[in-house]
Amino acid sequence: MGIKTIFCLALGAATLASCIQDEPLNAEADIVAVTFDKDNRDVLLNTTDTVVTISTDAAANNIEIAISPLSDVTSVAPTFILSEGATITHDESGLDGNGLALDFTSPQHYTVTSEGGVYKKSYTLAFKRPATITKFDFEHFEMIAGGRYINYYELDEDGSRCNIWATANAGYAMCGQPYFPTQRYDRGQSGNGVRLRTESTGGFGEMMGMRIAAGNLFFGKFDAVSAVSAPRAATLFGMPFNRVPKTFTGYYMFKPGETMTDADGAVIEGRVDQPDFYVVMYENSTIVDGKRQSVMLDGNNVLSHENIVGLARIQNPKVWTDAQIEAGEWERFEIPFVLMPGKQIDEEKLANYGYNIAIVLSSSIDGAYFVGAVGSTLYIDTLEIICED
Amino acid sequence: MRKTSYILLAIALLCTALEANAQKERNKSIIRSALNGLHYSVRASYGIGGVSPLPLPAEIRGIDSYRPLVGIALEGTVEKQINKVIGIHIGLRLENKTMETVADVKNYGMEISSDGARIKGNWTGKVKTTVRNSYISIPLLMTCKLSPRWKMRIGPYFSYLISGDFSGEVYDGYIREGGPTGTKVLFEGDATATYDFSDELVKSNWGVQLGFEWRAFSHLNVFADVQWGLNSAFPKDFETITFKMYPIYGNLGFAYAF
Repeated sequence: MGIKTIFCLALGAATLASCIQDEPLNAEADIVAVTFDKDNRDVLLNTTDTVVTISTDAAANNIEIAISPLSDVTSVAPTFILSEGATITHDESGLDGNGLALDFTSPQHYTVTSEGGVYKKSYTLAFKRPATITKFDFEHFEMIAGGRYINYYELDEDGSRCNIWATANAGYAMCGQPYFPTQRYDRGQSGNGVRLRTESTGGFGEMMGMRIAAGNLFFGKFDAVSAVSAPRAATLFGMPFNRVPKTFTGYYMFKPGETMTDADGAVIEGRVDQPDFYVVMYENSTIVDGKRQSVMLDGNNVLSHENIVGLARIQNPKVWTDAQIEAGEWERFEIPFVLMPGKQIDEEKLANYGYNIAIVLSSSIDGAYFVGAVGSTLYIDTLEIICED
Repeated sequence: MRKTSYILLAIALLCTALEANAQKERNKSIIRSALNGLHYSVRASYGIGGVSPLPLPAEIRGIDSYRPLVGIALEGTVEKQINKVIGIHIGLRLENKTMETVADVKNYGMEISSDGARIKGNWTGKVKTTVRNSYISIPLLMTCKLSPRWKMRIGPYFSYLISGDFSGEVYDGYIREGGPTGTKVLFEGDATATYDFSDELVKSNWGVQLGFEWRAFSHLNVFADVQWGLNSAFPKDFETITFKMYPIYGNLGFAYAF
């Protein structure tokens, strides 16, 4: 027993507060944000968004910074906001990565080391010109977070990786349940497809008032930090886009789960679950007090925000039997992209990537509100956003 | 849990009452016992303390609040005076050890298990802990007469957990899922997660007890004791709380000596 212990003994339990030890070194090793000072921000697609915050889930270790199509990235010096006390090293050179000018023609790699030096996290930082991909066949994926769940990405025409897709799997990982809602389906319409299934979140989900998790896959990112306190704000939808969509096409199969339940877990009689999939396009900025502010839609407003200009959304989805799904009776859908009343697409704004587009896929239409039927399963594959020339 | 402890307290009180009724008939035998150096007493006390790691691990950054809750102990005691100074104290005690604390923690390894789902991670934020444990205990003490009115006693005690509640909630902070570099998830506002480790509590506890007793009147003594637990409230293989948790309580009470 050290002197401190004996001291505690003497003072008794009521004054234990006086025995607080020195604060331990911070164990966190995050890139909290990538920032661009005035000499470096010109490369950005959106030069007013100079602080790019980074999520903490496994998918977020691949950071993509949207840059303008014609920018020169051969010497850019990003700076980093790190966890308290952490340091960052550029892997290729071994130098301090903060403010280090590098050639971002190809992605650069960094390692963040925690204050105590015990914990490390590896990051890849890629500068991406806006993707021009319009076909999605779900053949590019990896298992992340120690192989627990899937992460989809795309390859653009020069074969470089684009992290377009996000899922809320990192949130589901919190529930400690074995079967993730978003999974690969190895008998796709062509090659691999995606299987989205509404799953129970178990005891933890119940404790948090989120009893189900709908299978989900979308353009954008999942910000796990809000997953418990404000779950709909955790799903951020959209990527910059410079073409006008005409039709949303693809293949799907769907079977509803048996019992619809509401957010409190009560059975909703007489209602059958539905899937939801759509393409939404919206203006990615607004002017507030003369200043341009970025807009990123989330689960609260992805279908209701005033910046939405157009939508292509499935109506009256069909229902399959197990046997039909087993036989692979995929159905092709073609949904016209419809402008919202009074909305138009501005040519100049479009050319300057002033619009975001998102594909959003869900196995339960009201899954974001934790209403749905466990077991509702949406199979989807070979999507395309057909655009005007 | 609480029901059980109330029932036990009631039984103890009933025994005391019966003993009181039977007193007249037994006066003679008590006097005879006293001549042989045997003394009987019943005692009641109020305990304040906590179940705490010692020393506090560095992960605990502060204690925001502490409430003792209601901790009552009832004991029947036999004392045998060996010589003029030294004696032996053996008792049978029913007691509650309770507390409620709110602590501020940083990077505190924990696990929330609920309905088979287990979430492991490192928590930074508030942890509220409620302990309501009931024990049946046997103190085995050596007594030492310091003066005609003052007596000191020291020795081991052995406790058996009759019913235990060790539970609480985490809130106002964030968890890093799986470890300090895992996914960070905030718990703000109404978002709280509860935990319950009641079933993990060990049944047998022991420790040392040190106390002083002052004879206020011929039959009424007042006393103060410290009970210092020497085995952890949780078994060694319990991974969630990685440090040993010791029950440490101070009792203040009175004894009626026959």
